[in-house]
This record gives sequence, structure tokens and C-alpha cells, in this order.
Amino acid sequence: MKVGLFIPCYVDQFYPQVAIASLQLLEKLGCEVEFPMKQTCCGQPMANSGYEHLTAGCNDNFVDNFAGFDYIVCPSGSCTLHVKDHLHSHKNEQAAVTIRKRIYELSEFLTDVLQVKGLQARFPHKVGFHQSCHGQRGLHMSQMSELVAEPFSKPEQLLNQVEGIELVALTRKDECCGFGGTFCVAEEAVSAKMGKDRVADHLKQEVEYIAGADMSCLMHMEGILRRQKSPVKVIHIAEILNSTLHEPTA
Amino acid sequence: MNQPHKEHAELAEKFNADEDRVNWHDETLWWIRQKRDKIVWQLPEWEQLRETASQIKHNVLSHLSEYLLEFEANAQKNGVTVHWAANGEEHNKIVYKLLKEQGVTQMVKSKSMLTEECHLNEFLEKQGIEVVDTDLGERIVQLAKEPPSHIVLPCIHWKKEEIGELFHKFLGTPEGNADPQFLTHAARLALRQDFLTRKVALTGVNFAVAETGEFVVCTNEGNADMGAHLSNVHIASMGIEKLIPKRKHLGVFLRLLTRSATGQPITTYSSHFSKPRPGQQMHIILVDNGRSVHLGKEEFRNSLKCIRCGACMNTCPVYRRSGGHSYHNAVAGPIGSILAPNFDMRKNADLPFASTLCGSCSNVCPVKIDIHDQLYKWRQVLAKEGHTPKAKTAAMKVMAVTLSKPGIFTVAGKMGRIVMRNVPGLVNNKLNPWFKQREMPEAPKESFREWYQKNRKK
Amino acid sequence: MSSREDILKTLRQNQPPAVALPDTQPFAGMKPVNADQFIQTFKTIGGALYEARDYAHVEEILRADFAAFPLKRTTLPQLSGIADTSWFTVDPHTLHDTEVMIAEALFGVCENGAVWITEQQMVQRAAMFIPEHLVMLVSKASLVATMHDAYVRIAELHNGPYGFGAFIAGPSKTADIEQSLVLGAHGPRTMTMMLLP
Ligand code: SF4
Repeated sequence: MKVGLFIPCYVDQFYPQVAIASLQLLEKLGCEVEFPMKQTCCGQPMANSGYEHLTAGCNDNFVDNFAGFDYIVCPSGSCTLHVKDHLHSHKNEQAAVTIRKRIYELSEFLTDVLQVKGLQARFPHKVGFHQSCHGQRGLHMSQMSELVAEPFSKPEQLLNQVEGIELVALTRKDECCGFGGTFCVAEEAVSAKMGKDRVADHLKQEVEYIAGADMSCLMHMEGILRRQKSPVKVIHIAEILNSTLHEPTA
Repeated sequence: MNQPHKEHAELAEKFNADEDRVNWHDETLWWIRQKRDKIVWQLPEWEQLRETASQIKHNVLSHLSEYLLEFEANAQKNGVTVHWAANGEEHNKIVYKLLKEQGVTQMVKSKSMLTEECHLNEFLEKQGIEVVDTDLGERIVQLAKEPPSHIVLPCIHWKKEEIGELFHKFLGTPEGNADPQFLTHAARLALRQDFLTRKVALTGVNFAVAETGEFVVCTNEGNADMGAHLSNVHIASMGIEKLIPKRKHLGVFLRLLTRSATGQPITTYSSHFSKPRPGQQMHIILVDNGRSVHLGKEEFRNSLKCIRCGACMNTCPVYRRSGGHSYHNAVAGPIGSILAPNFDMRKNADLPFASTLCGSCSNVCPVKIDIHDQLYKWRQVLAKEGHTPKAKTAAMKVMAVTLSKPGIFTVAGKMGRIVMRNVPGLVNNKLNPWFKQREMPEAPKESFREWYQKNRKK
Repeated sequence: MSSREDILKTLRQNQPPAVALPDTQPFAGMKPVNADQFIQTFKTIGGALYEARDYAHVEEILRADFAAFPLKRTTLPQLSGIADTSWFTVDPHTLHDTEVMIAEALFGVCENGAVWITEQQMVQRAAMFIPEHLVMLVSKASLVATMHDAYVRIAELHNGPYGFGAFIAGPSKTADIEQSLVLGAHGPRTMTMMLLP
């Protein structure tokens, strides 16, 4: 199974350990993984700002990089959703359509495609899991609290396989962290307040880590935690699932 | 109303100056969201109901002109006078004409977001007509000379102590008394006199039934009924999208409306008006005010399905932390942000950006409006039509080029990191809004790309 | 061109292609009638409820529990022994001093505790809204499960327009001041249900 690893630009630059964990995890699970070196971005920062019409070049580049893989896997629900909903290519629309169908967020790839059971991972810590909106409400990685429907959670299904982990219940289980792309600077006051409130919910449960499947939300909350000089850390789900007896690499 | 207005971000920042108040506002609305959750979980068929309501509304939009004619004919048969108003101004003039015919200078009004949209009160005031808003929350904001901040809970931003002060000033209640029970009673006594003496009452309309020509008004307070049944003339103002095809469809909508709005199983009163009472005049004003044009916009017409339950506001994490007035529009919150640009794209260009696109609004919406997708689509329209800041457009153009050329990308990204790592003062300063309340991520020694090059590409 | 023609013309140009109505039939009769649910729900929405055997029993209860309110009026000739029935044609404004109004609804709805009553049973529309206290009789046998069933019943009961009709669910209320629930906004401050067999 040939997997193309799509690493969001800010993860590549600021959180390489998340990309490394994703890669190692997929390899451990028997995938043949390649990271196409000329990938850039899904184009979401532009599109969510109203400039989807400027994303053609970026999209073409994405298609050039990821055409031909059996699956495209990305450790971010938000970027995955954007590609799924908005990837088009004038040059090669057929390839774009195929990519839209074959792209998966990492944890849903593990539960739905690889159908992972009995992961060998250990993470003896108290963890709060942040449901990122695009992964949850967009990709349906877990049930949404607004709907009258059977609850489920793909990330939790995986985390429950991790030895020693203690997952806490949050007061508001799927409230947005307020990152929202350019929203975080354009609407600084509300964005930061949302982030602070989300962090406070986790802190109330006395977590050691805030985990999530989307580094952008975690980056936001990390910014707030560090400003508050909190010892609590953020961690991507890939790092937890890839962790062995050792502490995760910082 | 025509003064230049501040944008959402700025107004929201002001609202956030008092963090305790933001917490209180957020908790209050979240509590209503929880009440909504609790009651909808009692109906296993909830999602099926939403889907049905959505489909009925699609049918309405596709037959609106026919249903309006059917409604008009049936209402006329029932002895009701039907008026058509192309816009707010015409609506206001019709109301004024009816008041003049009665020779009165006073009127009671129950909750109607449409009259807010038309700025009816300001218009009538200028003509020397005194309008008394009779919904308690609306009365409070009216006394305070403010617009409502929420379509269902007009004074949700007011604390009881402040209302106590307001009532002390206007209704003569004892200073310092902030007991909700006491204040409500004081308002009841004062407004009772208005109900007993006003000859004209205006109400909104929640649903109008094409099949029968009747319309339904839902209140908890009973103010619409007190006004209407004691008046010589009852004027009901409705947006043309309030129609539903058949009476039995009320079964679907009345089940959804209040559960979504406040978590109640139904409002205290669901009043079905079909004929004037003997000796009374009943008028219905069908108001367009941009709706017929809006209907032609394929991507945005769904917002006309709205039944004004307010659930999208209660669930919206941005609304809860920015307050209704930050939306500078009669209807605030997520639904306001997709309706407002239809009226004035330039003035309301900021609203579709006042969202993280989290999608909670679309999930609670009882008629399944794709609210957050419409916010996204409005952004595209606004950017293309030049209603976004020039600097942003320029930056986006640079980004577009960079991201389509992988070579430039690696360099630009690296540069970004070098700057971040070595000259934190450059980025971590007050000019960067991120840094105001958040630290920047720490740049690692090497990017994933570099690591991959070394470890997998050998 | 008049606004009417203008609006209709624009609508016709802009209406999307016809979409069929969904079938709402499956919702009717989906749930069983549950009198306990009616009783419980009515209490949760702020109402008081008695199970009464007949009109005589209703009268007995009213004498005992509403003794403090001498100014009672009723729409029901059967209760003229305890309440005034001479108000049917007066100016509704004069009903303002009514302390207790007693009327009978056509049916009740289990899922929300509401009762349906039309102008005919109200005698005067204002009569249901203006008193301090409202007492409503409804028979257990009349109950329907949901609002879908309610509209099926309405269709059976009324062939033609009813002038005015209302679902009434408890005392008038507001939570506009800091979301604290206050019973008695503009309409009756209490509502008592007399559930007949
Ligand atoms: S958009 Fe939907 S949720 Fe929001 S007010 Fe309208 S009907 Fe209610």
C-alpha cells in the first residue's frame, strides 16, 4: 500500500516531531510511505480568507505531488477537509477527483482503512482530547454534540488502545478553540478568549497534556499555555500513538 | 442609522474588555444550548424532523409566488386585508397610514424582528407616533434606546442590577431592587395599562399557512395576544419567507421551534389567527425587502429557510463571546452574518469573517441551513468583489505564488524560521495580534523536510 | 407596477426549480398517547393539575382552592353556580378585573402539555389572556400524543377556519431578566388544569 504523506506547511516548519511520528507510525503499521518533497500547502489559508480563486497554482502543485498514491494521509483534519472539499485542477481534474476520494486524516486512516486494533503504545499520562471542528464536524471523525445520534470517536477508539493513558471528560466536549486561520489575528480578542476558555476546561480536569488531531488548534492552545507559564503541554495524537515506553520526543 | 459603523472585531474587542461579563454572557447562552440539547434528546426522531422541515422549506422557496397568492386569497376570504411592501420604507408607510386612519398616535407592538429590520420604531417616532414594545426584553432595550442583541432573548446582555436601575428611572421601582420576579411584575403592571388603552396592535408572524390564510404567533409572555385581542386594529407584519404550505406542517415547525430556541417543548401561546374578531380590522403586511432578489442567489437562498429560533446564536462560540451588538445588524450571530451581506455587502463585509467556521451553527439549525458553508461562500464573493482589505489581497497574492512554486516555498519557510528563531523581537512584538495574548511556537532546529532528507532519502 | 406585481415577478424569476413536499404522514401516530406524560409535562412548564371526576368535582375544587378569588368568570354554563357567565358580550377591556377564568379546551397534547382551544370555546379571545388565573378543563379521553396528531385532530374537528385558536401551555412566563424564569408575564400568572376522565 503506497501512502503519500501530506504534512501541512506549519507542521513541517514548527512541529517536525508530529510529522516524524506520523511517518514512523504508518511505517510501523506496514505502509510504504513517501513524503513528496515538492508539496507546499493545501491552500486553505487563502481559501478561508475568501481567496479560493487564487489557489489554482497551489492546487496544481498539490495534484502534481500526490497523484498516483493509493492513499494520501495527513495528520490534520482541517487540511484534509479542505482538500476533500475544494481540490480542483484545470490541468488534471481527474487526478484531483481521485485525490479528494483518497485523502484521509491520520486517525481516520488508522481506524477506517488500516482498521488498527491492539496498538503497541504506552503513554501513562492524564490527557484531555481536543476535538478540532473541521475534523469532527467536517470529516465526522467523531459524533457531534449538537446531533441526536449515536456517539462515537475515531481518535478515542485509538487512544483507548494506548496503555496507561487516562482520558478526561471535558465540560464542553466539542467547543471550538478559536484558532480559525486568519481569524486568530483578525479577531484577536474573541479568538484569544476562546482559546483561554478551552484551555481552562482542560486545566480544570488537571490534565498533563492537551492532545488533538490538528496541530493548528494545538499551536493556538500552546501559545496560551506558554503565556500562562503553564507546565501543561500539547501533543499530537500521532505522537501518543507512536510513543513506546519512552516519553514523547519534545 | 447611517453613521459609519465600527467593524465586528473592534466591537468584539470592546465587549471583551470586561472578561467577567464575557464569561457571564457565554455561560448564560451555553446554558440555553444545554437546555436545547436535553430536550431534543428526548425525541429520537429529531434529525428526521429537521430534515423534513428543511424539505418543506425547500418546497416553499420553489413555490413562493404561488403560495403567496394562495395565502392572500384565503386570508382575504377570512376577512383580512393583505398589503404588499417592496421594502422597509413601504412597510413603515403602510403601518403609518393605518394608524392615521384610526386617528391614533400610540401603538403596542410585540416581538417582530422584521420591524427591527425595517427600522419601524425610528420611522414612527419621527411621525410623532409612540410605539411601546411589549415583550419584556424588548421593552428593556427600548427604554435603554438600544436595539435587541439577540432575536429571541433581546436583552440577554443586560444584568438584572442594570435592569433594576433602568426600571427605577423609567417605571419608578425602588432603587436597588434587582429581583427578576419583582421587576417583571412592575413591567406587567405598567404594560397592562398600555394594552388596555392602545387601539392598534402590531405583531410579528412566526408562520403563515397558504392553505388556510391563517398565521401563527408564538410567545411565552402572552403579549402578542393581549395586544391583538384588545385592539381595534391588528397589524401583522411578515417577511414573505414565513409561509408554509399546509396547516399540518405546523406540527413539524412548532415541535422544532421552541425546543431549538429555549429548550421548552412549546411556547406558552401558539396563537392561530385566521379571522378578525367581530368589529375588528386585521391587516397583514407581506414584506419583501430584498428577499425576492436573495432567492435568486443559488448559493445563498437557503438562509431564507430560517425560522428565527436563535439556536445558532446560542451555540456560536464567537457570538457568545462578542455579544449581539458587535454584529451591527438587526439579526446578529451566524444567521445574521449570512443575511446581512444581502442587504449591504460593503457595510457588512466584516460579518462573514466573524467566525471560525466551526460548523456548530449548521448542526443545531432546525431547518438545516448550511450556515457555515454560506459564511465560507460569502468570503469568496466579498474578496472577489473587492470588499476585503487591500493589504490582505496583496499578501494573499504573494502567498498564492509562493505556494505554487515549491522552490520558493522551502526558502520562504526556512527564512520564516530563521527570523523566528534568531530575532524574536521582530515577530514577538505588540504589532503582532497573535502575540498579545499568546506565545509564538518555538522554531525547531530543523524542519521535517530537512529531517526527511537526511533520514529517508539517503 | 404595484409592489405586489413587482414582488411576484421577481419571485417567479428567482424561484428555484420545483421541489416536492416531503411526506409528514409517518410522524402522525408515531407515539402512543400517554396521560402521565401530559400530567408531568404540564407540571414542568409551570402548571398545576387536578384529576377531576366531573363538573361537580371541578366546582368543589374551585370552591376549596380558589376561595381567595371571588371574581370568577367562566365560559361554561355548567359552572354558573360558582362563576359569572354574564360577560359573554361585554367589551373585552372590562374583563381586566377577572381573577379566575374557567374554560374547557378541546384536547390536550401529551408531548408538551398544551391544550387546544378555539374562539368558540373561549367566547371572547381576550378572556384566555387577561385574567390573573386560568383554569382549563380537558378530558383525558381527548389527549393526543404529539403535535402531528394534534393537527390531525384539528382537521377532524374544524372543517373551515376557526376565527382564532390557540395552543396554551401553562401560565404566561418570561425569562428575559438574566434567564430567571418568572411566571406571570402579561397573561395569567397561574394555569390550573382540571383533567376530566
Ligand atoms: S439559521 Fe437556523 S438556527 Fe439560526 S435562527 Fe435561523 S432557524 Fe434558527
